[in-house]
Amino acid sequence: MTGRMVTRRAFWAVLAALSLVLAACGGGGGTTTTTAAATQTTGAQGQTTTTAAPAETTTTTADVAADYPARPITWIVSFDPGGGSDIEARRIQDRLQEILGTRIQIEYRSGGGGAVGWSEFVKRPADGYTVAGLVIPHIVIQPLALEDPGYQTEDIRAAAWTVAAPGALIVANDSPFQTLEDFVNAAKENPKGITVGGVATFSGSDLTLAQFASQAGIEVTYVPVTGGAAPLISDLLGGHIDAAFLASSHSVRNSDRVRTLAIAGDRRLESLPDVPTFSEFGYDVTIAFAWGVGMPAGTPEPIVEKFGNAVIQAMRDTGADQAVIEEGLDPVLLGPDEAQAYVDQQVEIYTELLPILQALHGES
Amino acid sequence: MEALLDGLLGSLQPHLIFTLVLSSFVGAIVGALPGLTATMAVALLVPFTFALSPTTGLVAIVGLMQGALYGDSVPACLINTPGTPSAIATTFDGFPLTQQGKGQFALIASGVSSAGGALVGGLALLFVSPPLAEFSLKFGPPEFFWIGIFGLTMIASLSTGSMFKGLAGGALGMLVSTIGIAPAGAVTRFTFGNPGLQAGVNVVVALVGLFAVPQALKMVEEIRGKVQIAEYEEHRGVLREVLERVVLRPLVLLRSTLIGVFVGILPAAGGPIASLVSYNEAIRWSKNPEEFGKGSVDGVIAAESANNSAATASLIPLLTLGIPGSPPAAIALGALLIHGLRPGQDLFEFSGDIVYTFMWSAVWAGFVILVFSVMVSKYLTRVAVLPVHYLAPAVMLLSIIGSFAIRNNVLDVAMMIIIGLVGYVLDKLGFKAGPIVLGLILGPIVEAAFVTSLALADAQGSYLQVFFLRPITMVLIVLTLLSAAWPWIGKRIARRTGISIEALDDEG
Repeated sequence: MTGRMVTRRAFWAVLAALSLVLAACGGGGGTTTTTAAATQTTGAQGQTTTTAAPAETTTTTADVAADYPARPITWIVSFDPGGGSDIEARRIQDRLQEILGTRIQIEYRSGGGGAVGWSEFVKRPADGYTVAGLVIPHIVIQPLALEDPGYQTEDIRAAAWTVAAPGALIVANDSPFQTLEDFVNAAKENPKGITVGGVATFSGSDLTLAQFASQAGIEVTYVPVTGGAAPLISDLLGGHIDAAFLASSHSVRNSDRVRTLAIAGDRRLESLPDVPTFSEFGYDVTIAFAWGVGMPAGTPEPIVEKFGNAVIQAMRDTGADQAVIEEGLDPVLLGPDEAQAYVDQQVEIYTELLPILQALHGES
Repeated sequence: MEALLDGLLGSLQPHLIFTLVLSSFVGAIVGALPGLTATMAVALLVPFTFALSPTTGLVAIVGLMQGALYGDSVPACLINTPGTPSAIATTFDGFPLTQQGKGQFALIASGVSSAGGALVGGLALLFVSPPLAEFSLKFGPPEFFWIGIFGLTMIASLSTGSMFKGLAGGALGMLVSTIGIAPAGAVTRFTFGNPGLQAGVNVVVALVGLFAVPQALKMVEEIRGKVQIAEYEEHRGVLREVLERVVLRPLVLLRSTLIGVFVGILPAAGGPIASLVSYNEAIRWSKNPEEFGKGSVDGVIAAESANNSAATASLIPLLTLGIPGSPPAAIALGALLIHGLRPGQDLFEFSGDIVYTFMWSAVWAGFVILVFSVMVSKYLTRVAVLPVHYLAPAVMLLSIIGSFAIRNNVLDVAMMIIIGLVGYVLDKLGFKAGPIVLGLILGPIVEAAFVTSLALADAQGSYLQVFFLRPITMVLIVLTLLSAAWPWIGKRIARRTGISIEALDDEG
């Protein structure tokens, strides 16, 4: 089994971890109390006025970056622990702490497909001490499609994009569809009769599927599944839906039970070399799911630069930039200079796509 | 087979046993604090599991889950407040027992049944994972829709007062559950422009509000007449009494753990539903259904064994299919992935040592809980003899901390207090918390499954086919009809056999 060293290290780590948790609970939720103090102060500032930024940000920007970070940084994860956003934060947390020389505290604020966390996040002071995990296309589509998302895409300054995964059209192993052509032919024979599951309505999957269907001249029934990829995969494996559209990382993860028909990226994936892209069939269908980190808009540029660069460096130092490939992810490694441009480009794409979907679902 | 035995030996390594004991203990404390759930206990540990060897990390997760699901029964029995949503059904009989001075009895019964649940769940995980996981895939959206409807018929057995008030409470719960972003169509409902309400009313917030606040206020109300919840009497041989009961009438424990295993593997269900269904079935099959709600030990056993076995069972689809059956299982998935372990066939083939060690540890968790419950019950029971003027503020304080801790959100605290005050008034009017919470938990499951099923029906062009003619839905429909009609059927049977079941009649 595991080596003796590892075992011993593990043992002490558990001991430390548990005594920490214990102390936290004994003190009436200590872990929560630390974040509690932070939340309350920022909450008060955020509600009254956004100009209530701490004093140090008003000094010249060069000084700001030199002193930054002077205290621990809170990293908001807008989803439950264990999800993609959490994994991407945890992957680099240790190394990032070493590079920046401060603690990174992860705070979970889940709900509303991320909207709850992000709307809280944009109200925090723009001083570089609150960052949030970002997900494309969520942060672009929510403000476009929801009547009251609680935040706007412009309220966020993206600092870095670490990994991305193209969308993928997948079927169960026992499905009659061997190729994308089989799928298209079946959909032509049986308009609206083929069901394709995806996560929620007005989501990336929903939009891209609509885009594909209109180009292929087919009509399929989109089945919105709540609760993320887990119930979606289980519905697919159980034969309740004919196909599913989700991030390719899920199809890599379940590759022994699902078959990927096509990838909605501009090139084939290293982890799925035999799977063609939609463009190889002549369809212009691309969608990227991307994970990154950002700060509230208005954060001094030198701070965004310093933090964003540290994130990219942490990805490289830990070897995560290579390790993620096996998980079906693309290491995109966009630093602070390119990160925002990427968001702006996505906004353009979805602003164009949205009318297709609105026509499909009616108003609302 | 060899891997199975290697796993057995592996799980007995001292550092793993130590990890299991410590994490169960921490889990029990977190679970006992209202508002802090098993998911949060596991989430707190996540960063550490990433640094640990995969086996140690996973063992710690299973210990925390099982510990929390024993711990949550402690406040449920002693102060009528479930520590986590999974202990809702435990309050129904656990608290009446405490009021009768049998708090220790309730705690040990819940410890023994939690242990039994963990044991059976662990054995299911070890020996029948693959077929169970395959079977769980047969449950699609239409099946979940009917499970939800079946669950709602439990209002009939939970309505200890009038049936009308029970149904009204359930409807209220379902209505509250519609707050936030709709499962389909991206429509925001009843948020009144407040983005904080987009995620809806958190079930734990509602739970703390509906159970803890009215309980604290009732204590204050009675402060002149009564100084404490119950007298404490030292009992001897409680463990033997409980064990005798369980061993001589094993059916309650066995049925409940099997219900737990089954509900646990379904991705959309979980501990709260497992324990409620199992409680409901315990009433239905009991020879003395009138005892339930008044301090029936069987009620405690049914609720507590089901939630523990459901927790372990939620790991079955995770390990075999990569589909997490519960939020803590989703976190365990994260822990697996970070170590480069991909659930599914490969995991068993290439990392069998890790998987089987982990599974055996899930079995041992049951024994750890048993030892704990016996050791601490005597001391914990004394909570019930604390003067009310200490206990009531302490309950309120814990409620505030607990509701804040869920998402570090002050809005949740405000909501908890509002829901609590409304719950107090409703309680006075005879609308009990049980049906309201049931509506709140099942509402979103029913709605999401209904919307998805509609889309399937559109594609197939037949509503009849999707909603009524699938084999499993037909079984569920029959169960639902039986369950809904049971109060009347039960009465007729009672009249014929001469067993009284007044509990189902109105009694104010």
